[in-house]
Amino acid sequence: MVWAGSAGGIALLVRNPWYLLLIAAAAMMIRWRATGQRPSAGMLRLFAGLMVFPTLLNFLFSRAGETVLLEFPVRFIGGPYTLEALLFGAAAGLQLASLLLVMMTFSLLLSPTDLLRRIPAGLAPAGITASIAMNFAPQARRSFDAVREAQQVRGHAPRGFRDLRGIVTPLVILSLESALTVGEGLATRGWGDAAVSEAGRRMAWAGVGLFALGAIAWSLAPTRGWIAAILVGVGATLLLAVLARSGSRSRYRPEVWRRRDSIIVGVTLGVLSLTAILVALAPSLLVYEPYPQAAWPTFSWPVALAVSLLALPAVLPGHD
Amino acid sequence: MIEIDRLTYTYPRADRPALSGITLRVQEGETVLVTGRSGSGKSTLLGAVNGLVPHFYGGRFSGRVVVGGRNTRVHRAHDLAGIVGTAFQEPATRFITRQVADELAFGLEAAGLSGDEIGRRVRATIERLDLGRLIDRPLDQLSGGEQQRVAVAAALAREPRVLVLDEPTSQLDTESAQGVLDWLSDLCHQDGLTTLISEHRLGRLLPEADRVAALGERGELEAWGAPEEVIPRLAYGPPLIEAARRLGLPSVLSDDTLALLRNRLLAWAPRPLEASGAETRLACRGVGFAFPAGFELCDIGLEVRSGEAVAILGGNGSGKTTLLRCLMGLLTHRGEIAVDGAPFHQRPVAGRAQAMAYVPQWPSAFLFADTVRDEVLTTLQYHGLEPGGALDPEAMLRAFGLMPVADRYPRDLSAGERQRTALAAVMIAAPKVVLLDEPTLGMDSESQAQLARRIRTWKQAGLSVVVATHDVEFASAVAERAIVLHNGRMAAEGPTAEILFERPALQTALQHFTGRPWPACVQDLTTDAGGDHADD
Repeated sequence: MVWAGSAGGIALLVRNPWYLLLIAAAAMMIRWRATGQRPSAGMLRLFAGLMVFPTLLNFLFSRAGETVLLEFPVRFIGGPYTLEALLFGAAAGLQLASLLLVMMTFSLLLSPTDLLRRIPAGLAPAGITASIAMNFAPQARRSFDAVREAQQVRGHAPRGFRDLRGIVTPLVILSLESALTVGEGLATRGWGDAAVSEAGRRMAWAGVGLFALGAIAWSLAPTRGWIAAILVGVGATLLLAVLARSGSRSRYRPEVWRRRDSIIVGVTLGVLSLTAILVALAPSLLVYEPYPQAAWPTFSWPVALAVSLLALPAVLPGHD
Repeated sequence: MIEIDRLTYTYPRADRPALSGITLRVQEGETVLVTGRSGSGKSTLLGAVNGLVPHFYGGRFSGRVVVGGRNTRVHRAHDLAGIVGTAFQEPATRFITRQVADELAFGLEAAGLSGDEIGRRVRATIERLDLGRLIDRPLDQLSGGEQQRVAVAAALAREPRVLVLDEPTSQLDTESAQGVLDWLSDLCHQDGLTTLISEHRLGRLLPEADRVAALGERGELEAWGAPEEVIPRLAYGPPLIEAARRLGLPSVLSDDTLALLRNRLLAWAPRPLEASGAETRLACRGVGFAFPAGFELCDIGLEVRSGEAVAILGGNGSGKTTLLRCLMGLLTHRGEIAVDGAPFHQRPVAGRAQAMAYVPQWPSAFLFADTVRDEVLTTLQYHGLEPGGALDPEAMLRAFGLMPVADRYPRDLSAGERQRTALAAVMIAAPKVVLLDEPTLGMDSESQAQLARRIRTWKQAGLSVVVATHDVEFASAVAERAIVLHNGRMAAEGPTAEILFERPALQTALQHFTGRPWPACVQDLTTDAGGDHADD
């Protein structure tokens, strides 16, 4: 969780394609080690697809930039289409794809149950929601197969993307039904039953609320990061206080914390902290800004080395 | 232990209550069988006891439900989990962890018990319920019966005083279902548990029930009391009572009535085997498929004639569904398949679909249109057919009794109505072969009888029907011939009544009662069955 939180945080803070590629490579290496399987062609296609879409979108609709590649004498759709818009779109796509890879690695290594067990006792409804959310994607995959099969046995020959319209609604409904089934199971098994006072529950939710406010403050006023930092800091303190008061849940088979885990947590938190400091002190090191005129993104060996440390779980000996 | 007082409950956006004015009291240690037709509110009543109703679903709730001294209006499902354990049908969809031991421990972890106490209770549950051999197995590798046992064990790990079981054996083959019920019965008596159990097939559970709660079609309590008082008042019942009714005997099965019934059944002459149809409609040879996980369907040969129904029998995991999916082309199989002599094994699914209709186990996954009428029209559209003439959607809806719900959302319907909708959606294309996978799953007895009548009509019209089922009563009612699969291989083939009778685990209630293969089911006791109606 710490690795995913740090890698995801860094992928959000960094807009430099070199470092984003390093984050994506680290995520792929960890998946490779966990599954024993090389990155599949399907995954590479997904990665490329996620890059292509924002690239094209920005290229077609942004008019900024000085290096004009195409221009037609047609009103509204005539351009100019610039190299800078293309590069900016590609960088945004790379950021999206890297973030998705980190999250895919996270969901591969952490089951919904593991996530549930780590959620503070006062946030039981959030635990159920998180579990339902994590079950949604695999359920959606199964539902997709079921709906497609149902269409075929009623005479429908698959037509690729053109089938999507007829599939989306039943897909969402089937997946939600399955997710609710899991929710029913959790409720009848007593999830949320741990002894937490009403005050503790309120404090936990206040912590979550402050976290959300911090995120909103960061997106609305990125230049005043200190406001967001204070909100997130107070939110984290409240949540830690709830955890300390209620204690964590007991485990039937508690996981063993090894030296390897300490190293990974320490290093990834260190890389996240370094990135946060650089964002505040030297943002140009991490951000790629192709406007107004295209240029190669900057590359700093120390920063690249630091980001590469995110691949540590893939190379350190020991069990995952 | 359970007090329900004037309970009326309506789901959100529903136009009528699912439960209406229910009042009943269950004493500690009693076993209550909750019965009723599809959509009568059995699961909702169980949900009112474990607290899912109304907290999890919302809706309008009036009246009072008190379980173990806790009012469910105040206490939510997770508060009640310490005194009410719940196991649902389809347990695999509700497992939260990946391994048996973790699943048993999950509720205890959620309750905030200490690690030592969790370990002690998990060990005690494993020992008490005799689950030692399953303990470290992944849940997805267990059989249906084993999964259901783990689900019950997980519900019992918190040592509840009330056990709620929602159709716990609906997916299990006869042998596994009986095994689970025997095990549950011992458990309830041993621990003095108060048990509420819903089930369509009354025959299996009546001997264990202290009381029966029968729900009417509008969610009202139609009858409540001891089984011998309630069952004779119901329009449906277990096979022996149905047989007695069919033969004009009293519904209350006293010793005298049972003796009379046995004599009448023993005097019933076997139905002569129906003359087989003129031509082979569906033929398959050497059909097989290997799953990566190891299970393999091997070398299946089958011929079904025009106007004939064949049952595919076998335990859970024997390959029944796999065979149907191969026939339909949903799995890339080995072997040859032909319909009316035309090779089908090279055709894609859509290419087989006009000649072969297939309805899977859970028709919910099959229904994706906005209304029941649209489901039927969608099939025509997929096949590129225009409505009209023999392809009349309105006539199809009428034939399946779907006109009253034609404009409703299919997934909101009862199990029986969903099944009929799925059937109408495939039958509109006028197929020659019908493949049905566990068609009676979740269906009440009246819906099952309707389906059996419908299959007989199809046969009279020359259609061929293949039914994969673990419901031996249904198989004997509709199929002239049966094949038995075991571990993916053909274990037997022959007339259905004989195939069932030869295997004690597959015998129908009437076969078990008379010790003879004939009559095998209540439907055999009809005047047009060709029987000798010599009475006692």
